[in-house]
Amino acid sequence: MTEKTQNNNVKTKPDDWVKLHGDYLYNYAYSRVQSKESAEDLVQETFISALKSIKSFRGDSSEITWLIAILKRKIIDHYRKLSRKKETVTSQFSTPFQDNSGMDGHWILDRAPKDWHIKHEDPMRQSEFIFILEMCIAALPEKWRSVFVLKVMEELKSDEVCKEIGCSSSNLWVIIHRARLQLRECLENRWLK
Amino acid sequence: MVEMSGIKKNFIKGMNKVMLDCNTATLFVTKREYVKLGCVDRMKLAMHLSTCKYCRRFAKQSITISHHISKLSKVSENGHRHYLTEAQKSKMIKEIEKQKFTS
Repeated sequence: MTEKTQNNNVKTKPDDWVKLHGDYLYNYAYSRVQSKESAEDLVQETFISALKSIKSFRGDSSEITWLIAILKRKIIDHYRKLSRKKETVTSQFSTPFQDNSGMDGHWILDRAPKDWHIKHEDPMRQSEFIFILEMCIAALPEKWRSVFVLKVMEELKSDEVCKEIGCSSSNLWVIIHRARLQLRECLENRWLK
Repeated sequence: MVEMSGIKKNFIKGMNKVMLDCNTATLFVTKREYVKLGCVDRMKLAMHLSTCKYCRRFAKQSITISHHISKLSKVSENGHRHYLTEAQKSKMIKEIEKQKFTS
């Protein structure tokens, strides 16, 4: 009976979705929310939403593309909800630039970028770099992480990000700038060791 | 002496209009990854980068970071970094089953 109500364009049964696409969706979600629990919840919600809207799937795209589109919406919702919450940890941005000196706005010397001597060819070091990068993204303050993931990883337009998260366009650049400054420093401290 | 420092102050003020500080220069480096900078800002940034080795490093590292962010963002079919456990999977399947019958 369920086969009949199922859209003909969907090639596999919903029961097989988990086996076929579960890990793919989980990895996509994990890289964007940096938490096992949230990633699992998002994938689960994606399957449930897909099931509910199975009739509207026209088969113009592949099944996985359709599921990813649903998951993308879930990720935006996830960050919108986070941004509505008052941030529990008020993290003070510690600027790496001088303040109250004759050299305002210039690097504080011991926090200025060091030479990384990166060799792109080494795959071991590369996966290590990505591992640390993921940790450093996870360590960003929530609001920055929301803006950063939606703008940089999900590649939403600035006004779309601001609409969801609630920020002004100039504020968005300040947030991304600070997020990247902190990311850079975090990578340097953890990776150069 | 007082006058000299006045001139010096004005000179620094004037220079600041042309020369970027590192804070603004790194903001421009970040911005240019996503939007095209205006002609004046591009020139100011180029001038700053030609004299500041730390901001040059920042710019170089930004490219490396962006390269790895896009690698992290792309999920490849065969090289997963995380896996759902069997328990998580069967929980999901159960939930799908439940929804199928309630809807």
